[in-house]
Amino acid sequence: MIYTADKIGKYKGADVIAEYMLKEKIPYMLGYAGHGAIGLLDSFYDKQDQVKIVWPRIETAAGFMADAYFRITGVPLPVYVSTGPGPALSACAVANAYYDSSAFLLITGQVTTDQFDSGALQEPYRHYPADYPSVIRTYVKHSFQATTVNQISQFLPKAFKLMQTGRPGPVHLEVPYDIYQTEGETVIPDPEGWTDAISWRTGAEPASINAILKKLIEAKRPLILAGNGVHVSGAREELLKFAEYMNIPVYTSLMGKGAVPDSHPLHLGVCGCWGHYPAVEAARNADVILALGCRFSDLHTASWQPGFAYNIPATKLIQIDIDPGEIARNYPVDIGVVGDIKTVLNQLIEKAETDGIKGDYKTWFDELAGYKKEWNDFVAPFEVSDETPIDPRRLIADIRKAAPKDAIMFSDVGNNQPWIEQYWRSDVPGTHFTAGGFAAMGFGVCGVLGAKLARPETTCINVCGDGGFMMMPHAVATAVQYNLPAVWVIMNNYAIGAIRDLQRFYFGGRQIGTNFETYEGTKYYDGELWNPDFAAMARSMGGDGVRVEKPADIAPAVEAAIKSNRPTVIDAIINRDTAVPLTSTWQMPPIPPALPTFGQIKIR
Amino acid sequence: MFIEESLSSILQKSNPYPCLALLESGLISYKESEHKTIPQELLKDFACIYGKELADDAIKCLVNLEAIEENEIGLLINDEASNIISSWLNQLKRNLLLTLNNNEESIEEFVVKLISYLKENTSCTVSYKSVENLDFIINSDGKNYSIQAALSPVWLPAVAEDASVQNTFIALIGPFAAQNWHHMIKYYAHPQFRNYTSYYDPWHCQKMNISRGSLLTYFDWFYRDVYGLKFFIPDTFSLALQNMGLLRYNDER
Repeated sequence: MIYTADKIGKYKGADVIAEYMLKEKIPYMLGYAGHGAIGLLDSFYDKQDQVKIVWPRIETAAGFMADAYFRITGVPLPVYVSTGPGPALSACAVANAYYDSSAFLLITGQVTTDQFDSGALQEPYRHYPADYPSVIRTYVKHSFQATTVNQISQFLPKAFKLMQTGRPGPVHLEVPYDIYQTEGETVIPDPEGWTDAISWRTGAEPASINAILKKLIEAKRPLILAGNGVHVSGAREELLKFAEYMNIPVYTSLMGKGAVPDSHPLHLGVCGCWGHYPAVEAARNADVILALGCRFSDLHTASWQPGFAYNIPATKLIQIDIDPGEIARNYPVDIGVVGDIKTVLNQLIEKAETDGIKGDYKTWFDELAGYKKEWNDFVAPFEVSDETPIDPRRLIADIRKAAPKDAIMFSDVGNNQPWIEQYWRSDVPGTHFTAGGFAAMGFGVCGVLGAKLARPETTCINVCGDGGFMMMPHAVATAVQYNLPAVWVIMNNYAIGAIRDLQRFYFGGRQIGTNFETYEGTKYYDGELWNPDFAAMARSMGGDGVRVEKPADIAPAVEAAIKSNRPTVIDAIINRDTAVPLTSTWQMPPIPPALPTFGQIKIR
Repeated sequence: MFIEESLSSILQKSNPYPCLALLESGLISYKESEHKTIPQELLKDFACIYGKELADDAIKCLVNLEAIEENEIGLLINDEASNIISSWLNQLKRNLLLTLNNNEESIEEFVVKLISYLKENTSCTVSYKSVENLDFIINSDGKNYSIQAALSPVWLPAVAEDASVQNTFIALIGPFAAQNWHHMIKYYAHPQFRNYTSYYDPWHCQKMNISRGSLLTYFDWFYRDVYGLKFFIPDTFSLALQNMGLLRYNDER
């Protein structure tokens, strides 16, 4: 017995989980019941004043909400599901969290231990008994299958340790029904002894710190790239302090968006296929890039094609990441440091201040000012466009004007994501969220509720497409049920627009399976564009709903939604043929890459 | 009989470039082609680039000067005159003047500065194939680059295949944009050409190049760091690449 410091007692397996959640001070458990979960739920029956049970209308939604909650608070919530379909439906949310270094604890049920390999209802048994861990293993940091009560006690602190240290990620715990109900002699471990005492924020060796500073000082055109690792590490303040001290411009990946205030003079925007021109042009012209917690994905790097977004080499790359697997994955590095972003930035600040090291890059800033002007001149007219259907840029500009400064923005996946990437501005760091890696549609629609759980006093907005909203429309019902007054703005273009655009631009305009339309003829694309009345749907679920077709009506609708403090859906009809300006590119081999639609590539 | 001094009459022409291009092509072919003759395809490109009338005039002029001669296979440089012509062309090349950001300098100064920039900023090694010809061989990350100043874009296809076999990348620097260099774009359909050659025209701040990355990025940085200028890719080049299916046509514009 390893728990010598704790008091031994007799607990049911489910009680161990419930008691441990109290010790972790977990405020919510999300999920969806089934016969494989009721044993667990029963142990929370008398603890609902401390751990509130929130159950949206599908397991995936529960996972998305927990994922969003972690992104904002750093607290991993448990997500309970039954067996079979429940775990299968939650896999999408688990993967979504895993790719974006977010976390929650997925607790799945399983057939009883004496029924393993019997093929009992919903058992995954045809390759190996009770084999859900094999299904989920690709998307979790670890998968535990407890077959005794004592194992639950052993696994829980390990699970929380894994979720909260190093690069975060979801963890899976599977418990057969009988183990929930079986009593065993065990202890409820204290998180303090098993997880909280672990120091995991590793820094860089002093020689690496010196080398990084030397490289930056010698550079003529240095940049700092903030990836999601800056958010995950909680290093936004340190980033700004270092950038300001060294006077180095900062740009971000999509996932790093919001690491610095958009209006900050050092900020260049997002680099990526649909990034900001100043950031993309700067990235391809930089001689040294200090990359913080960025994995250089295809959408960020123009599918790694030289010249479109990056020229590495010749650009010298300094890459800092807590996950060694991400360093030099796609580009060679001049200096690679496995370390925590916050810690390494503090080391850099301390050394730079001690040695009085500061950069002087006036020529570089003059050049960047030109890029910024070019981009701003391009963007400005669209943001005040009075055209109908509504220009997406006008829609986002008006939401921004109507929303409080600190409003939390969850974009979904689809064209709404790059529209928000390019045009949503926020001066409050850490208020933009999206699913950049696994990129599951519906994440934003449900995630905004997780945000509301985390920050009940803050305005939380989801901008989604009509496709994404219809995957998770029940989020409105959940919001009404739990009094989570989120605002959904649907960019309604009667299509899964991002994929339709790929067909328009990659496949010669042959649109099939991407427009929402009635199917009347003998082939696709014969019918009329059709969608349900989203505003009416919202009202039917107890929320508010409004359809907006004119630009002038956007801001009043958003203001009213926020003021009402009620879950509200704004169905905005946008111009479905306006494509997101391409500032870099994205390739789907063998189809050749396209040139940017904004800004000539000057360096290739 | 070939008389060296007669070459200077070429420079009196209102457009001396067809003659210069033909001489340069003749010298290249003299070294590279099987019978030392200028390949017929090169002559066709020559006629397309400068126009049939000017091309015919140039051939006639150089034949009259006995700088080139015609045999049963084709046109070739006069064997006795080849060294003299080579030296004369090299001198001409080296003295070509560039005005970059209000500073005037010769192409020789430009290329020498480029080479020192590459030496300073990369871990490449530089050897000189021909200092006189401004022809440098650079090894960077295990790959060879031949950096040459040139008067005409027309002869590059004649050496591209050999370059690909030798895994040597050729970067030509010269006043190409004013010489209808777009005609050469068709050769980008050939992998040997597109993967092993590039044109840089610092006079017009333009380049044609899809063999991207690595050492070539430093060409751009040199141009910017030293002169504050950028190389642009001509739209016709991008459009042609789209038509060849090397870039995706994009009607989002």
